[in-house]
Amino acid sequence: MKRRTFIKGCCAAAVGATLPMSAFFGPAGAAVRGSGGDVLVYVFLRGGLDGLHLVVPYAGSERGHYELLRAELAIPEANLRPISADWALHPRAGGGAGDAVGSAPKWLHRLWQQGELAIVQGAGMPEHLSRSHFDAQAWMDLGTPGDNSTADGWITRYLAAASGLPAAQLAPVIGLADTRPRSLTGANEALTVALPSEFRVDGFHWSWRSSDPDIGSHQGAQELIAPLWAAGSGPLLNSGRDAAEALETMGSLDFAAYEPEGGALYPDTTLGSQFRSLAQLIKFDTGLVAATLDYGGWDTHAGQGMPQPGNAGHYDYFGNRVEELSRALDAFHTDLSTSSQGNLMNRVNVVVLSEFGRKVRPNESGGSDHGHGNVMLALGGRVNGGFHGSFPGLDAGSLLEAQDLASSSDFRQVLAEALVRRMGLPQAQLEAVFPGFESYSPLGVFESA
Amino acid sequence: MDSNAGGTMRGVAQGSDDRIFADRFEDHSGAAPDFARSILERTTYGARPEDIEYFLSLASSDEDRLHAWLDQQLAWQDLPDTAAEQRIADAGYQTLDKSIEQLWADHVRGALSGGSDRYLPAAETEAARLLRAVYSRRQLYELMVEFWHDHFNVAGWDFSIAPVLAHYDRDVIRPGALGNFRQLLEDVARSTAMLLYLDNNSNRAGGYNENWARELLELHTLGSDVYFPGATHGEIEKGDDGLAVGYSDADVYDVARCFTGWTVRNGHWQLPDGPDYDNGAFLYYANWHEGGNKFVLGSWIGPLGQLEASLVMDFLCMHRQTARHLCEKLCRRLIDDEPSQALVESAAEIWHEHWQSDDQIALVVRHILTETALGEGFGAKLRRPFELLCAALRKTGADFEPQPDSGWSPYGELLSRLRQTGHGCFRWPAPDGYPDRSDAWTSASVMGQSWRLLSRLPELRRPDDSDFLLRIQHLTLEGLPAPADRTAAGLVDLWLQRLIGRPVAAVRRTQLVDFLRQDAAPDTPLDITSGYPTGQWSAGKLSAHYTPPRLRATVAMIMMLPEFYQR
Repeated sequence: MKRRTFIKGCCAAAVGATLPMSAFFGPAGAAVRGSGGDVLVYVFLRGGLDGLHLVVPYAGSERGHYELLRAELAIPEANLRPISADWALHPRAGGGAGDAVGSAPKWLHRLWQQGELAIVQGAGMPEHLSRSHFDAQAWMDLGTPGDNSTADGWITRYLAAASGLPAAQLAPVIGLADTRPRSLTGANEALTVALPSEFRVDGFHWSWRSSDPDIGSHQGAQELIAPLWAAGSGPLLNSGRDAAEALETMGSLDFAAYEPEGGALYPDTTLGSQFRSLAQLIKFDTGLVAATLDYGGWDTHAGQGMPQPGNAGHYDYFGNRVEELSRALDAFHTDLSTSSQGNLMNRVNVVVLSEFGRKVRPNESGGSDHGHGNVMLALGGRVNGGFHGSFPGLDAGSLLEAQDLASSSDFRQVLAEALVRRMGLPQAQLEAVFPGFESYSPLGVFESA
Repeated sequence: MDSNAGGTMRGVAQGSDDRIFADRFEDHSGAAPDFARSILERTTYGARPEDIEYFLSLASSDEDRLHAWLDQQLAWQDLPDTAAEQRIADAGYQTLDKSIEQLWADHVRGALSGGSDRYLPAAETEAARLLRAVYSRRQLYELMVEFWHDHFNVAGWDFSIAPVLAHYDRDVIRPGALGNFRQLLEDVARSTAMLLYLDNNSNRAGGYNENWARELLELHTLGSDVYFPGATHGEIEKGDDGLAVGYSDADVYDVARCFTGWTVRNGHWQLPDGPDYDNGAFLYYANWHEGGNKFVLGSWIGPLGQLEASLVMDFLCMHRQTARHLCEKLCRRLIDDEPSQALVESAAEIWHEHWQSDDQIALVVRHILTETALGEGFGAKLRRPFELLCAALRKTGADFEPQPDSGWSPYGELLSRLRQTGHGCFRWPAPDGYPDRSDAWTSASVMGQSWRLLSRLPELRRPDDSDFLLRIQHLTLEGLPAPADRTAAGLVDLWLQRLIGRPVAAVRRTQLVDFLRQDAAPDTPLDITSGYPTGQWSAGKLSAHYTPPRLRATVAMIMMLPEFYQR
């Protein structure tokens, strides 16, 4: 990874991300830049999203089962935003707490109407079962259901197996997290930074913080960090060098001055800030191939919350989470799809998943315990909007162990399709990315390349 | 200073089993790192010169000193801790002595009516945590308190838990940190914080909430190594103790049923009316307990009311798998990310044999530290960000009483930067607690944010601006009283010795000396006192350009060196 060459070439110009890339690389830019390759964005909702509370049976026989089983946790039809004859979205996916269900669709509801949102109901683990957060998350991140001792994350193996990836000038993959996500385990070239915009070693006294170009040989303490970590080898030294390099990289980008395009409004939260930074990194077109984001807080064993659309003062925990997620995804989509560089969502593929769904029956705490099958979402200009896969059904005979939504679509099916159809992975290489996954049959979530 | 106190900077080498550095730096010979330091860096939040001198004064051989040190540290109640307690008293915290009922009245019910701050008990518990880690003489005990907070993690800053965190720390975790695991588990299971965090407060007959039961088996006792998800009752084989060797979802559900009715006096509408049922304390509410038999780990548990959960906890605490799981975690915390199986197994034997002893945990900790002691495996662990902060504060003689202040105060800034490392106190959201393997703490994000914190420490001043929190200037003048000795090399070596006490790569030392001396000759003393604390502009002669801050930046960079990470 040679990021510094890139930085030296571009930091002077890296003041506003809305500049066309030619401003960074001159006339020969097209050959040097990241080649406009596709980017995979892997969003993990940690804690076990209650998919039946986000994408809800609205009519028909499933609605009947849903009302019977879900009891007091069943959202009334009048409080839902219908998106098909039989299905509806949680109202906060398409409007604020004070917005009535009939108000103009925002966020995920709007993207659904534009055909940019795909929904797979009943996705999850194939035959393997675990209701442990830690097992199930590891299985998904490692891409090996049933085995949490796999040495590499699935994204790591994808990077190794794909062909024709652009030469990364920063890093081919970024984990927007405090600690490296397990999907990136083993990816030495991955960069893990929770908040790119606040990534600065800025604590030294101002007089020696950074080099003062007006004083001949003055060299700031910030500039000494990388040299201090240059000698020696071993995992810690390698990590330190990556960190020092990342500090230089991120320090050269002016995140604060960035102005999202198309009037995109990112939520003023960590998640919003992460999507915002990611949009900026994508616009820099540095050869970024994949990014991961984590958004937790879905382990709703108690006080899950019920929406009351139109009542702005009503507290709804789950709804607040859904709204933040929906706003962030929508802002990200707007920012990139209306970019002066063109519709960048045509090369950005967002996949949203969670480790498992929750029990169909609520518990006695106004919440729901760990279950099995769940929804997966995909978002982007090359997504075939609509429902995909087959819903396993809520009738007694279809439930897993008579209590959980089953899983009719292996989560790897969706990821594999993204990789093969959008991310340049030869189908023959699927086995390398998902060992033991032998039944690739695309659901049609993504357009063919 | 005693020449044994950490060795000299040159001529002492990395241990041959160094796990952090793959290479040897050529200017070092081959001796083992100093024994006292290796023990103290492992059993304290940072070995100071006075700690090493004290350790050396305890006896005449390494082995005797180690045992004398452990005798003192493990009998923590007998170790006077007046300095730390005095600092806590001086800090004027308001919530740390409140009973659970007072916390509930003032910070839950009181906060609802617009009274006191819900988060103050969490903020003061965090401040005291930091203060004790830095100043307490009971250093091993404080390390174990942190271990158990991780093991029995609650999201301390959660809306519902923050008001009662002071109780959880004081009355649940701290009393049991070196005691008996069964008792500690009992106290955790009955604690308001855990009942709220894992929802057992609303686990009741006819509609159980499995959250606590699942994590009790998976995280707190048996561990996921023996989780057999789809197994049915009776399908898992039994060990020689008559207990099933592992558990399934069916066990989780029945354990949850055993714990039905273990709840909090929180004014729930189904509880009897009156203030006694809304005071935040533990309640076993028989009306919510589910009758009938339960089947747990291969055995029937008859309808025994509150005793059912006690039996479950007995099963779990006498289980060999719990011994292994807990001892592996203890060895990982104290010795090495990947401890030897032989050590884990021998510790597990002691754990299992003493599962009913009052000093079970102390016995196991002593075993782990003495089995691997004699200098072996030193530095296999990396300091996590909180440990980096504590070591920096201890080794620079910091003088501070952190206040729970989130605004633009030095403590607010310090704690906010700590939080951004991802290792703020009591902020891990998931029940598995902060990770204890180095790969979780060496991402660019954590390392960069840790450096951001450390780069700031030497510039933070007391709230009244009277002095810096870190006593860098004071210790420098004390260590090099003659101005002629204050050459860049002399200053760098003084601080390398104090902060690290072991060799660092020669090239790093040279870089630090060059930064500090600027255009001064290597043997020319620097004026670190004129214009203190800021110094003055001197662009034409950089060796005199803002020299006091340059010294502080140099000390900060020593705290950011790879060698400072090892403990």
